[in-house]
Amino acid sequence: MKPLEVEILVAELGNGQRPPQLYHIAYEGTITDEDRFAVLGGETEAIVVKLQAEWSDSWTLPEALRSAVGALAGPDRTLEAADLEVAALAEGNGRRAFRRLVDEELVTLLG
Amino acid sequence: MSLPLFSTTEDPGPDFAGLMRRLRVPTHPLVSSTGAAPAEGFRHGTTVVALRYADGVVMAGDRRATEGHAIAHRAMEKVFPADRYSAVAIAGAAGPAVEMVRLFQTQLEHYEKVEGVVLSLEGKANQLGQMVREHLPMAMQGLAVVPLYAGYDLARQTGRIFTYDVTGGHYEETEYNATGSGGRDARTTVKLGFRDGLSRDEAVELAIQSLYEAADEDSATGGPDLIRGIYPLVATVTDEGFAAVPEAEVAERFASLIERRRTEGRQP
Repeated sequence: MKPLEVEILVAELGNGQRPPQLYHIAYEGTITDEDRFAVLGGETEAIVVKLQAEWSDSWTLPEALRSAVGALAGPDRTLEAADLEVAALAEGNGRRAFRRLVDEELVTLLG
Repeated sequence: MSLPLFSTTEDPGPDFAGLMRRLRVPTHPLVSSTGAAPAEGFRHGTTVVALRYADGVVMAGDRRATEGHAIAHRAMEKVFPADRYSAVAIAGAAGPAVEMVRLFQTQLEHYEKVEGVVLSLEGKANQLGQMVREHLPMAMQGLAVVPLYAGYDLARQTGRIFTYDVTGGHYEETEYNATGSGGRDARTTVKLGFRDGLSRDEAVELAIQSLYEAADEDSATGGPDLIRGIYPLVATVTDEGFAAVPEAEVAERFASLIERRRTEGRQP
């Protein structure tokens, strides 16, 4: 990525018939549909390879989170709760499907 | 569609009501420049109570709305989730109170969207205080709204309760409190049964008892309506978030409370 380039990820929950969808919008406006995972940013290749190997549609929230954080960290470092900004989109979160995972809850989920 | 852009001096920041004003979204203040609000013709919500227990807080409210001396509604809801980790209950003029709750819910979400972080529980209590203060002109005209705010403080790992007055002043309660016309009776009942570190069952039971006693003494507070099957709303907030106590459990607790009183030979 170059300076002032922007990438955006829009995630949408499914509605019963339609599975959840990820829309990866690149800096020039092209939209890529993803139905498993999406990685944004400059150096994504290693992360994509790792997630391709690990991704499972039966992941629970803690499993998905640990895999994603492991892939993001890479082999040489570990990321703690304080290093991360994490949110989950799910039905049953109340008024909003979007929910930030912070503090003790995040520490517990990371295990 | 384009994003609203503001100069630095005009930017409302994370203030939702401020954003609406800056964008000139028409609002319809209930307050009139002259004269007092009518003494009747609007609905009043009554008794709500909150108490701390080992895992967080319990909040409960009766279901009656009154209009003057008449019962205006039998199934009004006065206890709402404010966000995942807090709840707000209202007493006072029903119309503006419910509107205040909706705006408060929106404000908390708006703050998080703009700032990218969640307000602390103290910060949320402050925001509600500001909304109550902005409502003061209406309160002076007789349309007072007095909320009760409680939540689970993730940083301190404990339940906390805040009470308000019409000026927007907010005060932290260390144990319990109640507001509304039956608040005094509810508070006394909780006082007699309260101790530190109550279990969830004990706290829910105490909240139910307090509303039962308040309904027994105060005409504007509704008790359990066994014929229509309408029961006070009870909710808990813990580190797992807001959870409504199932209506079946509330009904069951009232039934056993009444049965217990009967067998003990006490007046209701």
